[in-house]
Amino acid sequence: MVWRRLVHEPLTQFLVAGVVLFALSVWFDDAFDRGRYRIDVTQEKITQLQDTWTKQRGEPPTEDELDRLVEDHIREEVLYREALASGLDQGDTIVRRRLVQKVEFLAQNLALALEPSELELQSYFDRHYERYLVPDQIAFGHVYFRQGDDAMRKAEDTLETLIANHVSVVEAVSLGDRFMLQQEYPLQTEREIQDLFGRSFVKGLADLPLRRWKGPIHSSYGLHVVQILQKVPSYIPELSQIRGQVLLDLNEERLRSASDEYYQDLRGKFDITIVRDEEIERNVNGR
Amino acid sequence: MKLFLNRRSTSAICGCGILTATLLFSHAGCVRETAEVEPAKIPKSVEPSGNTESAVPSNSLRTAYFGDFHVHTSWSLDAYSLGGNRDDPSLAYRFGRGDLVTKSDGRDLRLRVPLDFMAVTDHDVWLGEVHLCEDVNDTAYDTETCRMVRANRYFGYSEHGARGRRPPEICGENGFGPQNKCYERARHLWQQIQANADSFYEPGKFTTFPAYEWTANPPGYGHLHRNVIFRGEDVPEWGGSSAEMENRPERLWEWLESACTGDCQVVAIPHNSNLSGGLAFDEFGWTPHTPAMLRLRAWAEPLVEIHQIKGNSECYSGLGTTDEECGFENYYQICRDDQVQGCAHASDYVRNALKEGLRLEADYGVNPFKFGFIASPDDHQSLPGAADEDDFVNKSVKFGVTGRFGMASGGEEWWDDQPDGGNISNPGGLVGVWAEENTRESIFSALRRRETFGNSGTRIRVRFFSGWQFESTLHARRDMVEEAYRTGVPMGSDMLVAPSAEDIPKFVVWATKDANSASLQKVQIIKGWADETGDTFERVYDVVCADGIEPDPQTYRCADNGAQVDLSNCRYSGDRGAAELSATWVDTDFNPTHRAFYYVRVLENPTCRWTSYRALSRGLPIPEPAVIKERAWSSPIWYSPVSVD
Repeated sequence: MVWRRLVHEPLTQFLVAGVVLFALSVWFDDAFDRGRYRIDVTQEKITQLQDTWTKQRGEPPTEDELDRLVEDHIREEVLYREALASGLDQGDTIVRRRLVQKVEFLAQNLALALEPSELELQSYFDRHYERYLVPDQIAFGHVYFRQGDDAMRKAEDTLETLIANHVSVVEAVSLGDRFMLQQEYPLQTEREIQDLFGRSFVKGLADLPLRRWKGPIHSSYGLHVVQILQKVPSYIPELSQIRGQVLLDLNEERLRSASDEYYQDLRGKFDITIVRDEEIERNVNGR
Repeated sequence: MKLFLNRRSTSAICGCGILTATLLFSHAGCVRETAEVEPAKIPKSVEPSGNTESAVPSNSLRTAYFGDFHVHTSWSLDAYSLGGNRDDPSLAYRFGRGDLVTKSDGRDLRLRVPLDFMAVTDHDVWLGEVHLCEDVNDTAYDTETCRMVRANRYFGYSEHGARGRRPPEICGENGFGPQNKCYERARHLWQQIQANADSFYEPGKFTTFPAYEWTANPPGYGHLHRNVIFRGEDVPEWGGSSAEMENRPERLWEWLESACTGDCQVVAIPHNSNLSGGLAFDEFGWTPHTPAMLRLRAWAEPLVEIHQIKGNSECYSGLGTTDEECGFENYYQICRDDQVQGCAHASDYVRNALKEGLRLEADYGVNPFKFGFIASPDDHQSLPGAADEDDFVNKSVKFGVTGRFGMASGGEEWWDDQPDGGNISNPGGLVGVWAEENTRESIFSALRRRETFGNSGTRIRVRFFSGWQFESTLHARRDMVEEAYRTGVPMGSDMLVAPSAEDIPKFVVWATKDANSASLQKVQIIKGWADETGDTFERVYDVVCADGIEPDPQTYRCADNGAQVDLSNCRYSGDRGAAELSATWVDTDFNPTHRAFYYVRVLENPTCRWTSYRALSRGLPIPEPAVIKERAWSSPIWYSPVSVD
């Protein structure tokens, strides 16, 4: 009866819990201290030291060198443990910063370690398809007439001949004047055509019909009788056609965003409170 | 996209060999411990994105492709620490091929005209160091030197690279081996450089070459820099930087000869000879000329970069020439008395080197200075091909280029503080090649046969051939190019053997303007020759001029065509000049016993220099010179007398 009452006595419960906790802490301390002052240099560790040496120097360490490697390792471990035990890692800005950078660095490495899945690739492409848009393109052939008093007359005569005789672009390459650039161009964007022929030529090409000799139109070089061979309106290519390029872009994005995403992910797990005192801030700023 | 430390992905990661750390992520149940961390922070190589199955367009008469063989990224110490550039080679490739890119300083930029080909040429010296300084897992990271590098306040070439030494606090010991951490890191990065070039190569569309800049600065002299460009297939292991090679170009040539074998092909392209302290084309103080060494040099270096941001290297009025067009984008003043560094020597200039080469050929049986020409910008902001005058400030200078180094971070205020020193830079130029197709094989063959030309930034195209039997109206023929290839040789070549002792050489030249720049003013042929005594000479001929102006038979020059620039808005006259110029020219002064070379210089009508655009946009007075003549240089054609012994 007394026993039972004692068990229900809060004081007893408190004392018992205290004894148990004390016993546990002694046991843990002991275990911790045993670990704290114990260094096991395993064969695995020695092999790793050997491998690193061999990789760096190109040949394996001698017996003496290996002994020194092991000693160096032990020295480092002893001092490192002491530093940790003394709490030297706490409050050290350089250590903090190094750790932060290491985590970020790992996040970046991890981002690239895994090849993106087909699904990720597709999803990236869906989000950024406008980046891969191929602008309007035109394929054309032309006959060139260099600047000169009779250029317009020659160009107009040639145009008439070309139309009257149904001359094809391939057959027309020998007509007109010699030209530094090509006489027939496969599909080109407006920007590419302007780089090659100048602005007025691009304007002249606009709205010309397909498969008919037209012109003459002006370029930076002279006059041109032209025939548009093909027009392809602006389109988004299939992912399969530009897979390599998209993969490159995706990997760059992963690299950029890896540490940020990782951070945001972690940050979400924290309760963060910011306490501000405007008066103190004003005083600190001296205003 | 959850990439990190959720259970599922972590278990996959634990099995993955390259992941390493000394950190313990206990909640992930994964422990890793090794000393090595992958320094790579760039995407792995992927297959070329171009559809390799589709046929690459080809032209048997060859097409002019334009490129850039000289650009630096955050992998170069000066770009990184003087220029504050944090954009790596992949941004450079993207910009070069015409993508809209966002630089890490926030600027959105796009190249006006995309390049056909390029190479990224980061400095070999400090290549490993800069990476080590960014590697938090390396002991170098916390050194004072690395902190200064990351704070954009360190430029160690003069202390280390120039003396052939490495910074010991970063690299450990000197030498070609693992005791030299910087050498080891550079070896690794050399693989990345190749992977980058491979991943952006799109045959037929955008050609890229693995390359680097061999950056020797022997103490007491100036630059002996060379860009080393490999064809792309079969590239040797890293052979050490110019520091390990003790700043001696011979070591580079010897290494290339021994290491670049099999399918490997390479060219080393000297540049900025104008900053060489007189050494570029002189006998090196430490090694006398020998026929074997000159032959090796001629093999390794078939090309020279004639124009770039840090000045023009063609010629300098007063240093072996009176050519009035040699006052173009000169960088330094002529040396005073016994001044060696920071000034212009006669032996710094390519035209003088071509003449010296003729003399050496007579003495040693080999011409080590048989150079084809290229030009490039040498930008240090990861922005290749941006050689336009009107946005030089936006692209390179603003964040910025200094007169001296071409890259220090300064900003607009810095420029306002410069009396004139800041204005001695210029936007540089581009490489032109005549190649059948836009592929590594085809373009590299053009480099090797020197069928190349350089320009000062506008896309002038120039054809140049020589032959003994050319008819006097060849330039007017519609099939001029076919005929010239069939019966003559193109730029970069040796002349064919003369059919008889009485024949004199004929040349045909054809140039067209950049469709988006000013018209052409004239085309010149520059001839250099050596007489029997070894004395050398030069003469500049206007061979065809716009607006119907004929050259004066005494001075060989055309009168000015009167083309003007309105300096209130930089508009240039549209009523002068020509869209194209061509001529067949006969060297009536030809002497068959004299070795000679001939190259073409094409001059545009005057347009605003970049400093004028800048002054206009900022409402400042326009500094001199207000206008320049943009230009292009063809590679030379050489004549050697047939030996009679």
